[in-house]
Amino acid sequence: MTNLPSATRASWTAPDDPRLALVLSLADDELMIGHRHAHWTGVAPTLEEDLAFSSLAQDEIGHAAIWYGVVEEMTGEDTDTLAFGRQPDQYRHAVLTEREPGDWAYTIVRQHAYDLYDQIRLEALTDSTDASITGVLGPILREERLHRAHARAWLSRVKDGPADGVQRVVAGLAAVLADIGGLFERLPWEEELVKDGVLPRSSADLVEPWTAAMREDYDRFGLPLDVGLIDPAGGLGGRHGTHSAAFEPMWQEMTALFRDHPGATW
Amino acid sequence: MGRYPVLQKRREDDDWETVGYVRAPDREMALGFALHSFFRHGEGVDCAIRDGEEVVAVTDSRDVVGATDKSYRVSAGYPLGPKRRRAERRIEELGVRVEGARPGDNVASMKRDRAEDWDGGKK
Repeated sequence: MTNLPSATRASWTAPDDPRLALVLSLADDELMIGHRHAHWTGVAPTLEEDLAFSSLAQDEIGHAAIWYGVVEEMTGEDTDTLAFGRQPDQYRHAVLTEREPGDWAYTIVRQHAYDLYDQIRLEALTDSTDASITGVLGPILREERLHRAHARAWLSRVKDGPADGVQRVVAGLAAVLADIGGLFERLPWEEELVKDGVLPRSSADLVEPWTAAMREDYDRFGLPLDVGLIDPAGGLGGRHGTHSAAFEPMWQEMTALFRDHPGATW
Repeated sequence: MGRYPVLQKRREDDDWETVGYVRAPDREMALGFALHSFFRHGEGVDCAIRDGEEVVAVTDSRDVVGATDKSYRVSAGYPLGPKRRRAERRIEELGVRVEGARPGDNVASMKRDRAEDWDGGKK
């Protein structure tokens, strides 16, 4: 990022605020996973899947826009600046969501694992004491149901397909599980958020229901799930602004228009 | 891969009408593809596929369609009128003229020009 002309440098920095840290983590996760899903537009395995996965990508970016809208209410900063006007170390998404798309097996395994996590996280938030959070959950949860159905439709067919399909899913799963700790990483000021009831369940409390949901699905799919590969220390850092090498080129591409044409509108 | 006709009802009292096809390995995937390909922009009130003689409706379609704002997915979500008027005012201020034809302008003459070019190429 040091090569950017100063006039185009992204500059918004989130003030220290527990609620802000929480909502930005929700928004940033959705923006990054949506951006990565969008990689498949035009190159998905079939035309129908191309449309379906592009639709899911748009949904996720739409959910990010909803969460940035909540941040906008809290800070007065506009949505585009929140999404594209920050330096990389100001983003609070989990490292898993920024990883390069890999192959189709990795993509679907990641989509399934992430969407299960997102469901559990969002359902926990329905008990939040913060009305600005609970107020937007309904429509997001309804659409996320469709996302899980999409991932399950693919994974449930793998065992009946060619043998290398199972091998590729197993390889994709190993890569996803190596980063999974980052989804459950403690948020900044998490104790305060839990104490105030804004975050009804701590990040660590979500590990068990997520693991159970994964086990149930993989058993049903007839696919092996080696829970020993779940790395609680893998993929950490994202919630505090430390990202993998995959993020900088992604950030450059994702924010280029915003940085090159300040104030531009569609 | 099978080929499944996709059916839709535009309004509550309408009959099913065929709006296209999806290719899918089975019925369940076809239902998902139909929903994503033909029904995510509020095109109708119900969506289904035809599997042999059977019409199979997409369940829960009403729950997910329109759940969140999708205006950014369609051109109508981007108000272009004010933008065009701003551009026209700016052109006037600058005292310049746009020489190129806009899409739809002089289509007949453009076709004629192309045809003449093509004839010239053959000769």
